[in-house]
Amino acid sequence: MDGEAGKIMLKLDKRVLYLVYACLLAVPTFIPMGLPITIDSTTKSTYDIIDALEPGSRVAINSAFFGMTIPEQYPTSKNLIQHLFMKDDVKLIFLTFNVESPVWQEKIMSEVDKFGKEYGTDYVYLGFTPGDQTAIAAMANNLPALVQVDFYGTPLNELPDNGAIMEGLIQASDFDLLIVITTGFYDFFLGPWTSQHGVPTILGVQSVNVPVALVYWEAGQIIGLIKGATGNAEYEKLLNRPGVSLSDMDAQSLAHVFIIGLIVYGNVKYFYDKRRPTE
Amino acid sequence: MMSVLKNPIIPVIIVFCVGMLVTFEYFVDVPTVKLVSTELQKWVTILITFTLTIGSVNLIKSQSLKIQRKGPGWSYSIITIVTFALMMLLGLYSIFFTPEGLLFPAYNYVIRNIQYPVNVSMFGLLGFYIITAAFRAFRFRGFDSTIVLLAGLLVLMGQAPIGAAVWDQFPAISYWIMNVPNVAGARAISIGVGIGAISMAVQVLLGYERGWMGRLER
Repeated sequence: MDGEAGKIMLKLDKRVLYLVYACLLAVPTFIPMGLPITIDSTTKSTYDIIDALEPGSRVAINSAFFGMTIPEQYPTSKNLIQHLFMKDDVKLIFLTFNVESPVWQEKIMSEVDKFGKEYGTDYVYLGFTPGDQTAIAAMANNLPALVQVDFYGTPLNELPDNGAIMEGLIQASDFDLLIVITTGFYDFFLGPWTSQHGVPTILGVQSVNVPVALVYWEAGQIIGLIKGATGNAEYEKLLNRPGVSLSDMDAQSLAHVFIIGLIVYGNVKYFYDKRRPTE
Repeated sequence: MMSVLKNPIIPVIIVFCVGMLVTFEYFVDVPTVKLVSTELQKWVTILITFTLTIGSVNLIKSQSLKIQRKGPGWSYSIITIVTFALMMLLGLYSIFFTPEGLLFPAYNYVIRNIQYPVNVSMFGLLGFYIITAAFRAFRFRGFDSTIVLLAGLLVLMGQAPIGAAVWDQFPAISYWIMNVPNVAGARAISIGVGIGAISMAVQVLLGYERGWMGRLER
């Protein structure tokens, strides 16, 4: 660490670090590395559960899109919905308790391949229900009491085949699977829907929520978990539909290596400063 | 009559009765109890919608005061009020005057091309703060910090594909760290938070905690 080069290294401006970091994140966009990814057991479990859904199964899907969570949760939602559409005769009921979600839900529906599935017969969007935790708990006990029309204003009993898709769906236990894609608010579902009514539940969470979500996975309260960006990439690989998440993994690899390098650099600087506190 | 209604014990009794009913409903499968509980919860969802209005009014009031007094950053308050008004008008127009409702193209455009990039940019800044925090916080200072440092390094290597490319055991080690010691700690925190929430709920139900009553408590 002696000499001019050493002095420059020790007084490195953090703006230089930011610039290097930004460049590293941009490089894989032009030069993909294509590093192989390993599939985590939580992602594999999610995939297997959806793949094993029987014809006639009814799945409730809640997507809570907040502006800052969309980069991770949009691909989660899109991958899971795409997989569900690939299944035969699986009915999808989309819920949301977040006011921003309808805009993004519509965007997802315009991008996924529906394999000929029809709105009203194979899937229905119930739209935004206000009330957060209270509405979620109330819906678990009596869904028709809270929602009588779909997002487009059509009464549920006027959907095709006299609303057959919603027939018999009174409480949460009438669903065969619940998928909750949210950040931090999955507790609102795990109480009334999962614990009280016993609906098998899959969570899709952001990377920052993974440490807490794993508590429910290890306890067996949830049967599937998509762990943020990494989980999205693994799911795209399982679906054999490479998308933005798989390509993001190269950038994530470089970012992690860079952060590790900074940690090493920080410790070198720390011990150098301890040894030579004044200059 | 009015003095009776102002008695602080009345809301405490109401809270107790309603709270006990909703709590009781969770543990029993009695149709009548579930019916009443669900109806009460429906009422709450309506009340919550009104609180959004109160929040909006408060926002405008506080920002307006700031503009009036020319407080620090008062020009941003003007932007806040103007954008709030524009977005509200656009939303109301979309719902009441267009067949597409919330899918009205202009409304969608603002959400997807203005609100979303602004939100995600703010969140993206965290990535840059993390890299400065990384080389400041992770130090070989003592036993505890060394454990944190090593765990962080191993999880970083295990979570990205490059870790598996360097050594195929990194993902397994990272998996163990996340699923064993991390879950243990997170579980302890979750249980602690849960017990705290139960404690607070019992205090509210029994009337020992009356902060929610505001001025009526006095």
